[in-house]
Amino acid sequence: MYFNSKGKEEVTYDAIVVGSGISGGWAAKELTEKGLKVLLLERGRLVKHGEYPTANLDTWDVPNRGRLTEAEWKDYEKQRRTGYTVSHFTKHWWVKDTEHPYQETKPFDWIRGYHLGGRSLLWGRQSYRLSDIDFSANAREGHAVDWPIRYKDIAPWYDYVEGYIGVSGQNVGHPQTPDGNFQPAMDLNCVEDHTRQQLKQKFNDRLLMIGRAAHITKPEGHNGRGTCQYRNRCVRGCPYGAYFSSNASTIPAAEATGNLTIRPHSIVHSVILDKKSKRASGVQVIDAETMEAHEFYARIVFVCASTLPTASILLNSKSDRFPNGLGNDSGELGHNLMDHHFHVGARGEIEGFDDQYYSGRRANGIFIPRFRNINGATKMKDFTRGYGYQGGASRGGWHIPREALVGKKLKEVSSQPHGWGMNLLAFGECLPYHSNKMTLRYDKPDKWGLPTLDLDVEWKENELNMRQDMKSQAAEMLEASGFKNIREYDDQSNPGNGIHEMGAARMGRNPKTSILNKYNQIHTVKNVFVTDGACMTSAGNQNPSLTYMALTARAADYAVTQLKKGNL
Amino acid sequence: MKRRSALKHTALLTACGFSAGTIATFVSSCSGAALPEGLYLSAQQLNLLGLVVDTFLPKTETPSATEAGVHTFLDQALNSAMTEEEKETFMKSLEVVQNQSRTKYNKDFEKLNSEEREAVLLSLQDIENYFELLQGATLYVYYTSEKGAKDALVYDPVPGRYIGCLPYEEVGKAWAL
Repeated sequence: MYFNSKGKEEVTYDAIVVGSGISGGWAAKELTEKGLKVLLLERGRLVKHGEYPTANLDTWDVPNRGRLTEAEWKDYEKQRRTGYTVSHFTKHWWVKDTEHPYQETKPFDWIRGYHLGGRSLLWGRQSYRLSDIDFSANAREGHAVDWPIRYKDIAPWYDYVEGYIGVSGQNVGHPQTPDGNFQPAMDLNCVEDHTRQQLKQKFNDRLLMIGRAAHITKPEGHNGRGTCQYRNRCVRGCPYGAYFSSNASTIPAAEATGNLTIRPHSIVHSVILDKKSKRASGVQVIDAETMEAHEFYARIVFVCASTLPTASILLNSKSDRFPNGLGNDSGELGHNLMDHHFHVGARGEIEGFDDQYYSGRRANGIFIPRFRNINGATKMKDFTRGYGYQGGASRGGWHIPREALVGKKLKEVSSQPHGWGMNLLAFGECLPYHSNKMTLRYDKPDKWGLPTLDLDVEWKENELNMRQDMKSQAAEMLEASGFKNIREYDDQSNPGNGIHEMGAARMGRNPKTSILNKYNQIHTVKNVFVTDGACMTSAGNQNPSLTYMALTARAADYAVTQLKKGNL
Repeated sequence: MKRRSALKHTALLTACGFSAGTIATFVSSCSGAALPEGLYLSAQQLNLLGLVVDTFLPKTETPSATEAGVHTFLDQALNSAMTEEEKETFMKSLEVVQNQSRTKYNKDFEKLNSEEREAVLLSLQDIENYFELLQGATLYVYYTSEKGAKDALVYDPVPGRYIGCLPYEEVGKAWAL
């Protein structure tokens, strides 16, 4: 592509950020606030904060009470695999599988949306820090490679991010779940509090606490974002901006600096490598609407497209220097894919609380942090790492009575809330395996001529053994807390269903075995940073977005310091 | 002229125990009043379904199932949302109701009094899962309707705060959402 000098100037920025989700939004905010002119590229459409068309609709306001018909499902055959993501309230947030295909050597649920803000609008908002038991796990056990950082390196950035996004939660002094910088915690309900007390009495290693969720609960600061209204309609987009999203928080902050340019409908084809300097000079983009190719230039590039697209862009960035993808001397790019395995646990019912209820719909649950393989005493024979529990207690709303009723009696009974039940749902760590990988299928291009992804990921023995314990311990804790009708479940889950894809461009100490260094810089292309889930060296069992945000802020700080020193 | 005929139709609907719906065409019924044709169901079938759902959830101090539009929603779901298999099962359930009525009382369901109608529905328990199907559909559609949610449950679209423990009598019914 030819540019005259003025033309090239118009498409040159200090930094390019690829992707506007939870990581890209943070990169844009940090870099613009530090004075850089930033181009933020988003492959989907624009969504301004507040443009949430279903946020105030009730079941009777949408077709078929929200449920899609079989014909309507056809566009979402893969996106529907979660069972909860796609409805008339939310379908505009998810890609149509018919337009955005991918291949599955083994079943993989790739659940995603293409629009400004990405999945930051749709995330579960649970926010837990990793601890040194996570950062040192690979080195201690000899799995994969060592993280190049430890807790002390990221702790101040966790503080910073938590303070900015607003995380409601409680400090509990639990070493595997480091305390933080929290907004007032939400309440446990009666049955959850009862269970907390029982677990404390009957086990010496079980802690039940209220979830740490990225919701504002204290009405001050946070750039005019409102407090949580307890509607539990988060996934439709929050008109109050009460939960953290790029749209409600980081993107407006970046825009306020006057340094941000957002370009929607911009699918990044590849990162351009300057032959002389062996640095990235910019990115090549395909306009999703016009199909035209464009080039944009910058001194640094943050690739935050989310794990699979990030690895896909780097793999597709081929050059004489990097014939197997940008920065991929190690051959690890696209490998070591991880997700959390879940859909396993136990449910039970409890008597004696029917005179108690609650008010408001708390979009948050409980958390029981990891208690396995912490030390010699908790070491398990047949699996390493561990898992935590989420879930909670509730009373069903209107219900179908157990006995067969009709008429006035049916009306009276069914309009009463159901009895109390509790669900303990485990989220387990998945080890990083080189054989769990993605590849690019150039023989099956998408409508923009880009290769589609092929996913070859499976749970292995460690995960499968862990699931037995995830299930039986849930039942044991419910039993110890006085629950009845306890049902263990293992509903299986494909990799990807946790929507925590991680690890395709891992951080490490050695360029021969990893893609990124301790500042999320590509070892061999220093002006390219990857700060989304792709960077993860191991998975922990905690919801990972908080860690992506902290690593992004840290990397942005480092990048700007290095730019100012003339090192980039 | 138009307004007059609309009024006439409204009167007929009221006489049949129906609230005015979206239905445009009318046919004569056994009782002499015109019954509205459904989108999927015939006028007789829609009328029968209305009687069934109102036997499950009659009018009390809260709205009846038909006042909440349960039957018209189901008719519309049959028309545009259910799979062929779901439709077949649902239509079969209406047929079974009518058969049970004739077997038990030698009369059509429409002619029964409310105690007899309740007895017919309860007798469905012995026949596959038709009781669960009809009762479940009625409850679900009723409590997710605007009238059901707002008048028969406690509806609070913007609670503003969360209270984890609250004496049940302070709420008194299930929350609608």
